[in-house]
Amino acid sequence: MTLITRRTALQLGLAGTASLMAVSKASALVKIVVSGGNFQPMPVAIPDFASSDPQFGKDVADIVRADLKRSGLFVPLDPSSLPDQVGSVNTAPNFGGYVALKADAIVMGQVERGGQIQASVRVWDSQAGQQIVGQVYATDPNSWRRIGHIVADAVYKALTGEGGYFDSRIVYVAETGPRANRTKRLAIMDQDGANVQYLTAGTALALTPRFSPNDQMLTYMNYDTGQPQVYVLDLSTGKQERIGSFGQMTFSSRFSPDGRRIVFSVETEGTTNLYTMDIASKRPQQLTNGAAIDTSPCYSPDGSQIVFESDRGGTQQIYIMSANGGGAQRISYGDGSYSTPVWSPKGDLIAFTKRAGGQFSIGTMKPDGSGERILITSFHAEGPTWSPNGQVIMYFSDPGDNDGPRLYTVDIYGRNQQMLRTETYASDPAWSPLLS
Amino acid sequence: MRASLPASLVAHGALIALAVVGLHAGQPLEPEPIESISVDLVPVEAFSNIRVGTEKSKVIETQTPSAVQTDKPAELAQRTGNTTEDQPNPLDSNTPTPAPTVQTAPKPEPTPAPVVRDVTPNTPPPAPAPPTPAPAPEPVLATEPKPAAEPQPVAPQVASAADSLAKRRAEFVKQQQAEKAAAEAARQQQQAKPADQISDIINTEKSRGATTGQGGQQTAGKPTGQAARLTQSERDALAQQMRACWNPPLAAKDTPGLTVQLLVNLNPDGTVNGTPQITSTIKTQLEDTTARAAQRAVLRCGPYRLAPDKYSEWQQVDVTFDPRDLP
Repeated sequence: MTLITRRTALQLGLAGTASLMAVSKASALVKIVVSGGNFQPMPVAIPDFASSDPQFGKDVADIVRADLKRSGLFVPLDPSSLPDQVGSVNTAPNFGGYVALKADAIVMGQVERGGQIQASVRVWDSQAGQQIVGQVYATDPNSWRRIGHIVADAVYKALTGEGGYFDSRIVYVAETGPRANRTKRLAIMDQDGANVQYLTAGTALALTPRFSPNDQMLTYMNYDTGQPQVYVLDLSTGKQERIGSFGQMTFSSRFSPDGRRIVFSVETEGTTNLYTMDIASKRPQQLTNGAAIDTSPCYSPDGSQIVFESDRGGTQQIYIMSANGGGAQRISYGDGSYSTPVWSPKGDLIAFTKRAGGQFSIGTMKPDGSGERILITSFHAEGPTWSPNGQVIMYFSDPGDNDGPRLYTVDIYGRNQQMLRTETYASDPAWSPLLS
Repeated sequence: MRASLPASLVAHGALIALAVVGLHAGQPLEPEPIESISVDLVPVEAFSNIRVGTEKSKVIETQTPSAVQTDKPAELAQRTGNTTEDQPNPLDSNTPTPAPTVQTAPKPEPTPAPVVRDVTPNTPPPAPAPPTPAPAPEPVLATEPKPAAEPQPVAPQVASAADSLAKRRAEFVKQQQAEKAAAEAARQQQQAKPADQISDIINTEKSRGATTGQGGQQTAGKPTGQAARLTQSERDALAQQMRACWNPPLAAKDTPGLTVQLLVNLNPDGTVNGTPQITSTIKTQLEDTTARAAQRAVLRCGPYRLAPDKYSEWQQVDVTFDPRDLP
C-alpha cells in the first residue's frame, strides 16, 4: 500500500492552498504605518490638591510636580495658568480648557490629614476625555512627603506604562572636610534629596553601602577595626553587626534578591575571590578560585546568576557566572576596561563603569554583552545604581581639584542628566527598592 | 534497494510535512491590498452582427445621441431597489408554464350592432302623458327571432357493406396514427430526461437575484464603480502628519515587537470623528500607554490635509504605530 495516493496528494495540495488563501485576506481599508516619533516631555496639568488645609494641598501637589518634572518625561504646566486652581476628584474636569493649554494629562487630587494621611487621585486623558487611573492611598502622618511621592508614582505609571520610582530612598557616602582628610559617613535620604539622616558617626571610614531587597537593611564596608570588613546595619533599630572576619579584607558586599544571602569579595594573600554567605547560618561558600581579582558581584533579579568584574583576562572585564559559582563567561568586549557591573531590577540590562582613553563612562549592556550604550562620559564618573523601575541610573562624578564628588542621575537613554543637590559632597550611592 | 525505498519514503514525507507545516512558521504573508477590477460583459452579437461595408456605399449621416452632450451631470451609480436579502430561486413546480403565444390572427372585425326592430306593434299606445314629464318608458327591445332551420329533405340512405368497411378502415388508420404520435411523444420525453438531469446539476445556485438594498452580502468593488486609491505619497504625508504629534513612552522603544493599531474615522474636512478605536489587543500597561499616546497623536494633529475627492477612500484609516525607530 502506498502512503501517498493521488487522492491524498491532491487533498494536501488543496489544504495548502486553502490555508494560503486564509492568510491572504485583503482588505480595502487604507493602511498606514507611523514609525519613529519625536520624544517630547508630556505636558501635564496638576492643579493644587483639594484639602481642608489649602497649604497642605499645595505642598503635596508641589512634590508631585517636582517629581514628575525631574524625571524628564513630563512638563508640569504653571499651576496659575490652569483653568482650575484647586483640583477636585469628585467631578470631571472641563477638558476643553486643558486641551487649549495643550495639556495631555490632568492630575486631580485630594489630601486630608487625620490619623493617617489619605490621598485620592485621578489622572485624566484630556484629549480623549477619559479617566486613566483613580486611586486612594494612605500613609503614616509623620512622612507626609511620601504621599506626594506615592501619587507621583501612580501618575508616572499611568502615563508611561512603567512602574514609578519616586517613593524610594538613596543611601550614600557623605563626604566632608578637605580632600586630604575627608570624613566619610553613611547618609540616607529620599530620592529627591529631602529628609537626610546620617547613619554612622564618621569616626571610621564607611564605604559601598547597599540596600537589602526589603529596604530595611544595609550592607557596607567599615574600617572600624582597622581591617576593612563587611557589616550589616538594621535601619529600623540602628544596630550594626559584622558578618564575619575573613582574610585580610572583605568588601563590595551585596544582598541576594531574596535577602537571605550576601555576596562579597575576600582578599587573601594577593588574590581576591567571591564568596556568598547565608546571613542566618553565617556559613560562607567560595564561588571563584584563582589568582585574579574578582570583585563587584551582583545577583541577577531572579537570583540564578551573578555578574562580577575580574582581571583574569589581563584587564578588568565583566563576567557572568551561575549563582553557585562556576561557568564564568566574559560578556564585555569593548575597548578599555569595564567595572562595577550592576544588574537592572527588570533584569534586561547591566549597568557598568567603563574606562577608556582617560575618560570614565557610565553605560548599559544586555546580559549577553550586546547592545552596549554609553549614557554619559566625563572626567570621572563611577558607581552606577538602578532606580527601582530600571529606568534611571544614579552615579557619582568628581570634577577633581578642590571640589568633591556629587550625585547625578541619567535615564537609560542617556537623556535628562541632572545633579542631585546634597548638603555635603556625596559618593557611592545606592538606590533602594520602592518603599510601598 | 531494500533500505533506499523506506529512506526515500521518509525523506519525501518529511519534505511534504515541512512544506505543509514548517513553512508557515516563516515570514507571515502580508498581501498588498488588491483592488477589484471591473469587468464589462459584452454580448458576442456586438461583434458577430457587424456588417461589412463597401467602399462605394453611400454615407448616411445620422444623428447619434451623444452621452457627452447632455446638460445633466453624470451621477454616481447608486444601489437600486430595496430588497434586503438575496432573492431565492423560484422552485420547480408541476404546473406547466403556458407557452408564449404569438398572436398572428387578424384582429376580429367589430361585429355589426344587431338591428333593433320594434316587435310590439299591437300594444296599445301609451297613455296620455301626465303633466309632469315622466321618463319615457324604454321601448322593449328584442332581437329578431332566428328563422327556424328549414328541415332538409334527407334522402333515404341504404346501409351498404362497402360503406361500413371504409368507415372501419378510416377508424383504424386514425387509431394507428394516434398510437404513432403517442410513441413519438414518449420517445421525445425519453430524450429530454438526460438534458433535464444535466441542467439540474448545473443550476445549483440558490439565488439569482443579488441584494440591491441594505443588508445582504455586498458585492466586491465600490459603488462609485472606480477605485480612487490614495497614492503612496499621500499615505506617507498622512503618516508624517500623525508622526509629528506622536510622543510614545520611551520604554516602548526598547520593547521589541510593540506596535499599536488604531482605526481612525475622519470627517470630509479632515478632522477626526470621535476617538480613534484601538484595534490591537492590549495586554500590558506599556501597551495601554503607547496606545493612548497614539490616540493623542491622532487627535492632536488633525485636521489632516487629504484630497477631498478621495474621501470614500480615507474616511476610515487603519494606522499602525511602531515606536521602534524612535530616535
